[in-house]
Amino acid sequence: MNVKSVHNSLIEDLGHIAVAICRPDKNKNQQHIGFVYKDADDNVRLLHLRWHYKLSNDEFSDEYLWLELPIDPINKIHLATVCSLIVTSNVQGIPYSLGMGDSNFTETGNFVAQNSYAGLTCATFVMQVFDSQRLPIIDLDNWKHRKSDKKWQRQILQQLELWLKRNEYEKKYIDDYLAYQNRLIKAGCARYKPEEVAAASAMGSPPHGAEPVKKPAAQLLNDVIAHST
Amino acid sequence: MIALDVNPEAVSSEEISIRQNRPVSSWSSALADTPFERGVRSANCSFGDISSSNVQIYLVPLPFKNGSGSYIIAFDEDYSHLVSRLPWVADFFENASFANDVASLLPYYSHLNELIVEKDFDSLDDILNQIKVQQLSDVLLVGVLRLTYLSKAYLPSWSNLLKEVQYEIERRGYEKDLILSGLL
Repeated sequence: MNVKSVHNSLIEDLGHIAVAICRPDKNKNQQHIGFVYKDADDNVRLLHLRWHYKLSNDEFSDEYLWLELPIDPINKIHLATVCSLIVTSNVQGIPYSLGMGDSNFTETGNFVAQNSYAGLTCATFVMQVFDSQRLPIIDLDNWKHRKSDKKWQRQILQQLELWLKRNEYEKKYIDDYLAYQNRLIKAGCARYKPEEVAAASAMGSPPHGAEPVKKPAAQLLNDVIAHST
Repeated sequence: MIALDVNPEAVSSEEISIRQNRPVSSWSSALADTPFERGVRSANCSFGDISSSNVQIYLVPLPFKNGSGSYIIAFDEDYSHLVSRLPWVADFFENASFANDVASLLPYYSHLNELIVEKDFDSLDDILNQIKVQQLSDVLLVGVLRLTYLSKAYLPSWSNLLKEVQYEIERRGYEKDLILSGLL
């Protein structure tokens, strides 16, 4: 199945909400994902989890491609409103975490976690927003941990450690946070790549397991790379 | 909430401004022969029955784009108590048919969120119980159910609302399996 629409067309064509994806650094093999939506003032915003406690609601940038969602206009307006609600309901931010098992959104957009180290990635943030509205895009039962996931998770954890130290988090918090993340890695938590989640969001008849998403995600990645250069 | 089955005649803006959102007991000439009273008299319950019960009557603007009059709604005691606890609910029921964009939906979504955060499921269920699906906008038909889905175990009125919304979605010509995906 192909991803139906990968746009870099006029953002004015956006209905109410779409999923947006970019490669922030063209020299790094890392994509980033979020929602592009029209807020209460009809401004086009980008809602995304940038990093640890860095939930951002920015002006939309041409750096991103956006993908049309196969959802009816009524539910798109509902989702766009939920995005606005998430902005106002989570002003303290949302933690970054490699696994999402211990956290989710309530149906009204409040992030809840079973402990202070649980959180989301940019991709699982998008997944959980859909999930909270009973519109799941990923079939978790058909998405297994891959060997390559661990390598990426360790790299990200190193970056997180450096960032936490640079931002003068308490040593105990850093130690406990890293220990929690290491437990997740050891347990084999699955990674959901931004291009996979973006592709799944644009495919009809969700939710999707890893296999059907593989090819559309690869196609999308090529488009994202081309767009970043 | 009881919506009286009347065919409203045109009501002057002056009459609306005098009586809108004020209970019948506060009217100075409640029995005057106006289009509104004629509407009440043609309804299923008589004016006398209403004024001697705990039901309160309100004039509400017509929920149609070209509407310039009003329609009549009688609210029961539960509704009055609900509005006295949560004043925003009156605005919600008055404007629910117009709320089809983020700007008009967001305040109501925020209020519903507050009730869920506070775990005030009694009030939330009272609201669901008072909803007349014909008076909800397309987005609110779906939105109210999605926003309360995870709390439905605490909301006895949720299942009945889902049934009514299914019927209403089809009546409006939409495909219910598509619009209510994940809720059925």
